[in-house]
Amino acid sequence: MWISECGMRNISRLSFGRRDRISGPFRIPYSQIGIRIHTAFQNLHLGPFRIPHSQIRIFEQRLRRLIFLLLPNLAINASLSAAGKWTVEGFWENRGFLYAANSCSGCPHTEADSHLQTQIQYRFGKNIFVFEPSIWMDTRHQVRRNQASYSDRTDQRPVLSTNEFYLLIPLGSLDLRVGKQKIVWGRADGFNPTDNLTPFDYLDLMENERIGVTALRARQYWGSASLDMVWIPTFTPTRLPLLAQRWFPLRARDQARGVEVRSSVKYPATTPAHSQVALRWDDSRRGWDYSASYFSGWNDIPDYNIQFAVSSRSVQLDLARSFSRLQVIGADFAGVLGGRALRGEFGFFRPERKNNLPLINDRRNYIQYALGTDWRWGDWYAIAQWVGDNSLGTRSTFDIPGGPPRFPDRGFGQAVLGRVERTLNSWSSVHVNAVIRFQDADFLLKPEYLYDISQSWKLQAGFLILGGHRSGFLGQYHENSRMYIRLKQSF
Amino acid sequence: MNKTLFTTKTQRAARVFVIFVSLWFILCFAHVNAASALEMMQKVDQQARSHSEQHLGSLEVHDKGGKVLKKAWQSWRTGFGGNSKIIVRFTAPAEVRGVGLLIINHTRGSSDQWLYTPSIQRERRIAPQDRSVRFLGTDFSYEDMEQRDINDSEYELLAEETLTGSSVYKIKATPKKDVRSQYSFLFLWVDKNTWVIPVTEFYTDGKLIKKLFARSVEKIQNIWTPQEFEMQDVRRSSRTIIRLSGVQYNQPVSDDIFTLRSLRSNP
Repeated sequence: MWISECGMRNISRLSFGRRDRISGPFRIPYSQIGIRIHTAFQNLHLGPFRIPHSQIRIFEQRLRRLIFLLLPNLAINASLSAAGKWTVEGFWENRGFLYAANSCSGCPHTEADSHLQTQIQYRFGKNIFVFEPSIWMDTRHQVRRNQASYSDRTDQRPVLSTNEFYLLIPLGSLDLRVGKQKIVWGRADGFNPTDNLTPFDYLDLMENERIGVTALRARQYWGSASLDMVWIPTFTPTRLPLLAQRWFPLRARDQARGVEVRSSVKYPATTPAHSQVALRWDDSRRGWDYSASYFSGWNDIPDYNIQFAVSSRSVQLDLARSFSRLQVIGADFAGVLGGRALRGEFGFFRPERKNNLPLINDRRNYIQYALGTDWRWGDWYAIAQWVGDNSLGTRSTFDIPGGPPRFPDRGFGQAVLGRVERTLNSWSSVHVNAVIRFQDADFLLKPEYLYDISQSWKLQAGFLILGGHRSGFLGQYHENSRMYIRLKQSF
Repeated sequence: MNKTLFTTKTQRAARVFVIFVSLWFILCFAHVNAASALEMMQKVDQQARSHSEQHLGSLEVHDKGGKVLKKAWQSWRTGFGGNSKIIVRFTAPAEVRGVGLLIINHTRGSSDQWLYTPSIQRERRIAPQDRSVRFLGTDFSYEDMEQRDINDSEYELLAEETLTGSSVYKIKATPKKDVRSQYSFLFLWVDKNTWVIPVTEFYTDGKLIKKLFARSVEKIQNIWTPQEFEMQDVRRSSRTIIRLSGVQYNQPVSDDIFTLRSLRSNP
């Protein structure tokens, strides 16, 4: 119906970003056991895991201290300000999915979930306090029902979590934001190589959500220009699909059948030396918006160290997850050329080179880019975007030979993203999203119908069609093609 | 025969003279009409001119089936016409609460527009051709929401009429060639007493596509101000009613409001 709310959100849901996984078979020289394994298997998330709660507890204790320090200040400001104002808003969304095929044993043909998100804002003077709790319920065992979490680092989604919890303090020409927050960078549609600060929840790959991170963000303005400075003291990983679920890579799941899987995870330490920093210069002049950015932090997709143990009774697989450092230099722009909006984004990625682990990862530097346009004619709206991913330099002895990189944080390869919208009237519209990957000749097609039942209730129904070559990232999920319905109430 | 010849020559000369005078008269009249039409539009512009404006707005979209969609917003403007800045912040319904639109108009050329959506925490530049698109599902387009410079169009006075008891001028406004517009031309009815435009018709490729009615005209701080607008989309058989309240002119408004920072901060 209009570009921002529905359009961007749905495109971003379509996006797989740099965290998307692309799978493909190749041989790993595990000479000891001679087992062939699927690459994506090593990069995706197996559960259940033993979570190092000690680190989370330390972090949460520190955060509580910070809140206790801030609260008196908040209270004083609130009492001094006559303009203090509370607002509560949010939505309640219910989704149902119907699958034609059964892609895994125990995966039902129907799934449903319910999501209640509330945002509580308190404004006093120019300051804003934001608290955004979220409650999830589902039938697909992606939600851990007896768990509430602030840090949101668990493999399953906690039933109660905090999306955002921060204080925004404008100090002259400086905006200071402290607390858990979502930081979104980038100007391209659907694929943003510069957007590396906030991880994703990929339990359902096609309906991904953002996970907030605890950060200190300072944005200094000089007229139309600004410098965005972010410090993230604690690490939050991306949440990956669970084993024995539909979005776990098909071949890896098949190969893991009958194997006892044990897993462990090691997060980066919570010390200043292990924190993440990012800078972004942003400006808008003569009809063009542009930025340049730098990120030095951690890849929120884990590396895996894999060991097999074969006994007479079973085959045991030990997965040790760890995270490696990552630096990204990026730039983006948006403007108007020839009467059409033109948007582009570029990222140069420099992953840490570890000599010991993991053997399976390609550690070469690489670039990712997106270039697209969008335009309207009458009641039609269309976005077309080309995205690419290219490794630089030659492989090292520690890189796995046998084809292009197959890692979750390596984007689409070469692909075209598209979206077409047709507004039918003030209450309804039809959207079609599409992704075509050239590397493996696979695709995604998502036609959907949106209808405003009333001022606050919205209905969305459609199909998700995945197809193409089975070794491709999208093609491997061909049995996950589905029909869906979404009912959302905003308040 | 000579007499006949003379008569014929005289008649021819007379005809040429009449044609020449007529042409001259038509050209002069057209020039006067064009000049007076522009002057009238300048009066319209002058009457409504203020350094700044703020208001609360609400709108209702009625479709042909009788279904009604409501939205509300708050708006601030500084400057006027082609040299103005506008920020609109939606307050209802919940789905669009916090959505902001920043428009920076330029005397020459297209305006800069950004739309901010809180749910994705991003502002997005809107291309000029996007302005023909319906604004938030209403019958108004982004272009209709802009403050247009009167120098962007050429004007022609067509007639003097009576409209609902008031004397009005009917003026044709045609966007200049270098001005990007979704409309081929507009018919404007200008009230002789208040210099308000009670009725506007919008044409594209010679076809009437929209009608705008301005009602509830009140004098606020010496400016005749319509407080209700109704846009009718002829093709869709739908209409949008906008009501303004709390209109204030020439109040001090900080320039800081009309920035991307302000748009992002969701005031």
